[in-house]
Amino acid sequence: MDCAEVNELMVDFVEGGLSPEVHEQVRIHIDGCGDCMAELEKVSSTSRILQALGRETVKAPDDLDLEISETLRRSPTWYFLRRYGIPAAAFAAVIALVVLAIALGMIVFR
Amino acid sequence: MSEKTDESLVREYVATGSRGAFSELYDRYKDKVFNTAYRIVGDYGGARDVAHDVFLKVYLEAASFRFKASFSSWIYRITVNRSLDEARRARRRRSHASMDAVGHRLESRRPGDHPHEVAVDREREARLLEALEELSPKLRTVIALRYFEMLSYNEIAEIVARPLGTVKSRLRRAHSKLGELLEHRGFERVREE
Repeated sequence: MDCAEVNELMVDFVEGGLSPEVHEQVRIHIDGCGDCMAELEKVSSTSRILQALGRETVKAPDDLDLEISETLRRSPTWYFLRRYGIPAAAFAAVIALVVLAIALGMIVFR
Repeated sequence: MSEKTDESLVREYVATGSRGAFSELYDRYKDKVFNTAYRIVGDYGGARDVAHDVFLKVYLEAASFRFKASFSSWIYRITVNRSLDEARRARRRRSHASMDAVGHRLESRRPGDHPHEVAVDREREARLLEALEELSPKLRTVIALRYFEMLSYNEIAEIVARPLGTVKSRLRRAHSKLGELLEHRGFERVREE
């Protein structure tokens, strides 16, 4: 097993996701390779920080359901159009006006 | 909460328009959706917009769910896609994660904590959020699903619609990059005891 292969398996190695045979092969390589040992240290450390900070969930706001209900009561279609549709529609309208102006200009000056 | 599976609640909701079935799905997934969105977008307000839109989409388009994958994968996939869009907008709006956003979650989580510990936690979390923001959205997504939602590689592969090998490779790259960023921000390496 070379460094590239060991690097690909490093996260699994740290998090215990490898079969015992592959785990042992990776361990033997790391024991004899300074670069991979340094990489192992870095991956282990990051994994621990992430696992520690990831334990708690960011809760949804308490009033989110009320906000959703309110949107449903008003008009979800209007909501999506306003949120995503209108900027796109406005852009298309500007382009259409520019094209129209150019076309008119060509007719007038011809 | 009832013993019903997610899929049976979806069937009930699609067949009868049952608000109860939708509410139960909402209760099961609101925190998962919000947490995932928050980790990808890195902004409390943006995550709120994402969660709002995800549940509206589920409400309006549940009939398009084909039961080929699990409901869980379906809603996570909607969340990830919508979060990636929001992250692109958010990146244009600001350059740093807000400490207020971190405060939102920490204020209510451990009332017995000493204020100094909470402040240190906020500081650490803020630096982690900053580091996460520097990852590409794709790398941030696998980190969010793996470490903040505790999903398996297979589940993540289904959600992001990529082969298992791609997920593992992204996770490895995310680790490598994040390790450098955290070190740069003064996180001490945590050694095994």
